[in-house]
Amino acid sequence: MKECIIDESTQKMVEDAVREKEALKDDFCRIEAAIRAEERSEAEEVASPVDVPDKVRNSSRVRRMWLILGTVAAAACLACGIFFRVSDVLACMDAGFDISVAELAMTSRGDSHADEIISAMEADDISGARNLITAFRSMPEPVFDLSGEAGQYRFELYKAECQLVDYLDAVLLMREGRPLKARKALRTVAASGGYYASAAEEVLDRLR
Amino acid sequence: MKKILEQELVAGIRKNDPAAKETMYRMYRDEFIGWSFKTLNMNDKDRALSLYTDACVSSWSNIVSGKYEFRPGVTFKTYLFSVAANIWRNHLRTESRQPLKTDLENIELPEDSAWQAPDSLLEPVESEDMEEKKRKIVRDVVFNHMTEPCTSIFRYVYYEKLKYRDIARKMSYSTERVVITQASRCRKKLEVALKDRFKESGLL
Repeated sequence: MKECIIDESTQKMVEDAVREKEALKDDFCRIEAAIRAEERSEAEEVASPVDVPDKVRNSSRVRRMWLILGTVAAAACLACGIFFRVSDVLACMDAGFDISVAELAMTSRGDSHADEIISAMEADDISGARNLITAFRSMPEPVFDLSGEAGQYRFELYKAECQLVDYLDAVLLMREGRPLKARKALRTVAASGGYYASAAEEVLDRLR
Repeated sequence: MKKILEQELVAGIRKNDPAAKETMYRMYRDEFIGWSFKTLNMNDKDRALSLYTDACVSSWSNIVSGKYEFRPGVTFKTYLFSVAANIWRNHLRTESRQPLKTDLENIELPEDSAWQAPDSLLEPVESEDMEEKKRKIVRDVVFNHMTEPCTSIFRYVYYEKLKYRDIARKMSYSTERVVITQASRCRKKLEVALKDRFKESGLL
C-alpha cells in the first residue's frame, strides 16, 4: 500500500502555510496599491498644482464659462463698435463734404485768414487747412481800440472771423473723419449764439 | 549606515512588525524594477512588481522562520534580489520557456557577493521536535517551491475557499473538472516535494 505523506496534521500545516503566505501576499499587494495611489495623486498634483474642492472647482468652471461668454460678448461689441464707428465716420465725412465752404467765403470780409482756410478746403487740402487753423489760433489776439467806431468795426470783423474759423474747424474735423471732435466743435459753435450757430445746429441734427 | 538600517529592518521582520513589512517593500521597490528590467530582461512593470511581491513574501517567510541570517558583506537587498531571481528562474523552467538573453545561471546580483539559493540556508536544528521540523519544511515548500498554477489553486481552495466552479471561472478553465484534476496534480506535486524534504531531514 502506498504511503500517504500528507496526513491530516500535514494537510493542516499545508493549509496554514498557504493561508499565511496568501495573507502576507495580500499585505504586500495592499502596500503596492497604496504606493500606486500615492503616485497617482502626485501625478494629479503635478497636473493641477492647487487641490481645490469640487464646489470651488465648479464655481471656477462657472467663472471660466462667464469669462468666455464675456470675451465673446466683448468681441461682438467690439465688432459692432467698429462697424458703427466706421459708418459714423463715413457719415460724418459725407456731411462735411456736403457743406459748401465757398458760400462761407461770402460771409467773410475778404483778405482774411478764414478765406485762406476756405481756399485750402475747397482745394481739398485738408492738412493745409488744418495748418492754417492752427496758425490762426496760435496768433496773439490783436488789441482793438474800442473807443472809436473803426476800432469796434475791426473788432466785430475779427470776432466774425474767429466764429467762422471755429465753424470751419468743425467742418474740417468732419472732413477729416473725426466725428466726436467735430460734434464737440459744432456744439461749441451752436452754443456761442454767433453767426454760424444755426448752421452748426443743422449739421448737428444731421449727424445725430 | 545602510547596513545598520537593514539589520534593524531584519530585526523588525523577525518580530513580525507590520511597519517593517511596509519599510521592506518600499525600500527596494523602485530599484528592483530597474534591476529586473536590466538583468531579468523583463519589460512589464506589473510583472516585475508581481515578482517583487513574491520575493518579499518568500524573504519575509525565510526571515521569520529563521532561514535567513544576516551575513557581513552581503546586504539584505542582495538576498532579496537573489530570491526574486530564483523565483523567476523557477517560473521560466515551469513555463518551459528559454530566456532569450538572460543566462539564468549567471544572473548578476546587485552586489559582488551573490547570495546562495535560499534552500542552502536550511540546516536541520537538533533541538526542534519532529512536529516543528515538519511544519518548517511544509512552510518552506509552500512558500518557496510551489509554482503556477498550483499557487493560485491553493490560494483559491485554502485561502479564499472558493468552489471549484468559481475557481474554473477565475482561472479560465473550461469546466470545474479541469480544476479538480489540476488540484489533484498539485497535491501530488506537493506530496513529492514534501516526501523528498522529509527524507532529507530524516523524518521518513
